[in-house]
Amino acid sequence: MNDVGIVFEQVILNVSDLAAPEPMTRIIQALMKLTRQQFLLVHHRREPFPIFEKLTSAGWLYNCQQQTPDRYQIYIFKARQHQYVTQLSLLRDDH
Amino acid sequence: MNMSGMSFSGLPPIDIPFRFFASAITFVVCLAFFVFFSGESLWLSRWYPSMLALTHGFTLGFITPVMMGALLQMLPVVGGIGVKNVGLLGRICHPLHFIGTGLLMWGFVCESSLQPIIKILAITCLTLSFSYYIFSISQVLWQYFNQRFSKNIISQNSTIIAISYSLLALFITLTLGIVLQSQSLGFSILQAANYDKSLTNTHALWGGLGWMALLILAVSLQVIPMFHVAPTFPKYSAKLIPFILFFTLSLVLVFPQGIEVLLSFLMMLFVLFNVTLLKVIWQRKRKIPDTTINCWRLAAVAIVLITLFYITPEHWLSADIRAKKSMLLTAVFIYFYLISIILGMLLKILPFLSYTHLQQRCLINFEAMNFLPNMHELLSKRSAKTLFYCHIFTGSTLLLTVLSPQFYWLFSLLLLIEFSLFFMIMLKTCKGYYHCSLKITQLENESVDIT
Repeated sequence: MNDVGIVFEQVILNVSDLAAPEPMTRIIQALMKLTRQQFLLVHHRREPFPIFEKLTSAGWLYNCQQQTPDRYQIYIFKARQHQYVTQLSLLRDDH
Repeated sequence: MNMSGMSFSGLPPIDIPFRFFASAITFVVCLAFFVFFSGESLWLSRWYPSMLALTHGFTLGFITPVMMGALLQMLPVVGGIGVKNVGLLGRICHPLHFIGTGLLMWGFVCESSLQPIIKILAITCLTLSFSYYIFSISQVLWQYFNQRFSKNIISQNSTIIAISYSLLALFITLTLGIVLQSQSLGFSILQAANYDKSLTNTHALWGGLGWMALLILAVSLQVIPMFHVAPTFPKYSAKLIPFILFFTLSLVLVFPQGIEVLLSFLMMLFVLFNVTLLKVIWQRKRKIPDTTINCWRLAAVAIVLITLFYITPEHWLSADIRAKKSMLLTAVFIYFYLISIILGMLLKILPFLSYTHLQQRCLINFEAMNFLPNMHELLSKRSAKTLFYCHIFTGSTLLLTVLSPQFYWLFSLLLLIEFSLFFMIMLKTCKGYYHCSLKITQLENESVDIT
C-alpha cells in the first residue's frame, strides 16, 4: 500500500564516528522520534547486519547501499513509504 | 525488506556463546589446581606428559572454546549469515569439546592400563565436536561466498577470508593431532619417515599460528575499527599478510626440515601485522583509556619480544635460558599474546553482547529503552583494570616458574585468583543482563495484555 504523490521527509543520522553499540542506540532513538511522514537515512561505516532482521520483525523496511568500502547508507522506512524511498535512492544512485 | 538482495540471519541466542566463554574460564580455574598438584616436575621439559596436558589445557580448554563461541557471534555481524541450528551446535559441540579436552589431558598424564581407552575416547569426542563445528562454519562461509558471487560482488570481506584460512588451519591441526595420538597408541601411520617430533612441531605451529593467531588477526580486522572508531587496516595487512601466513604454514607441511627458517619468517609477519595494529590503535578517534586497548598493546609488545628472543643467537644466552628457550617462547606466546588478546576481547564482547541482545528487543518495543543499563554497569572499568593487572602478574610468575620451577605454587595461586575474578566479572555481567531482560519481558507481557 503506497501513499502515491505524498512527499515524505527524510531524517538524516550519521553514526560513522561512533563506537559499537552506540550506532544502534542512536538509530533506535531516531526511529522512536519519527513521525508518520518521516523516514530515516543512516550513514554508517559498516553494514549493520544484526539490526536488519529485527527491523523486519518490527515492521520496518530497509535499503542498504554501499557507497565506498567504508561508507554505507541505510534507508529505514515503513511500507507506505516504500515507493517514494525506492525512487529517491535510485535517483541518488544515478547521480 | 532487504533491497541489496542478500539474505541475512541474526545473532545466535546469547546463551550459546556465553556457555563456551563460561566453561572456558572455569576450565582455567581447574587448570590452576592441575598446576598445583602436578608440582615442580611439570616444568622439567616441554615433552613431559604433564606439560603437554597443561599446554592443551590452555589451548583447547580456554583459547579454542572462546574463539569457537566468538566466531558463532562474529559471522552474523561481519557477513550477515549465522549458523543454521546454532542451538543444536552449542548443545552438541560444547559438552563434547570440554569432555574431549579433559580426557585428552587425562590421557597424557595417565599411566595405568586405561590410557589407550582414555585416549581413544578423547580423540572421538574432539573429532566429533570439531568436525561438526568446522562443517557448520564452512556451510556459512560457502553461503556467504555463494551469495556474493551470484550478485557479482567481487570484493570480499578480509575478515571472512582470514576466518576461512583459520578454519582450514583448524582442520589441519586436528588431522595432525589425530595422527599424533594414533602414533602414541601404536598405529604407526608415519613411522617410516620418523616424523614424530617434527610432526608435533608442525601440529603446534598450525594450531598456534594457523588456527588461533590467524583467527585473532581476522577478528582484530573487524573489532578494532568497530569498538574503537579506528581506521580500517591497510590492505597489505588485511589481505596480503593472512594469505602469506597461510601459504608459509603450508610450506611447513611440505618442507618440515625448513621449519626454523619458516617460523622466523612467520614471526616477522606477525610483528609486521602487530606494528600496523599499534598504528591503527594510535590513529583511533576516541583516545579514551581502555583496558581492551591495553590488552592489544601488551600482546603486540609480546610478539615483538618473542621474535627478538627467537632470533637471538644461542651463544648470547645463558645455559639456563638456552635450555628453557622453547618453553619460554611458548609461555609468552600463549599467555602474553593469545590470552591477553582473548582477555581484552572478552572484556569488550561480554557487555557488548549482553547490551546488543537487550537493545534488539527495544526495536519491537521502544519503551524498553528505558530499562537498558549503561555498558559500564554491565562490566565496570575498574574490574577490567584489576583483571588486566592480575593477568600481568600471573604471566610474570609463569615465566618465573619456567625458569625456577619451585615457584609453581605462586603461579597456580595467581592463575586461580585471575580466573576466579574473571568468572565473577562474567557472572555480574550475566546478572545485569538477566535483570534487564526480565524487565523487558514484563513490559512485553503488559503490552500483549493491553492489546
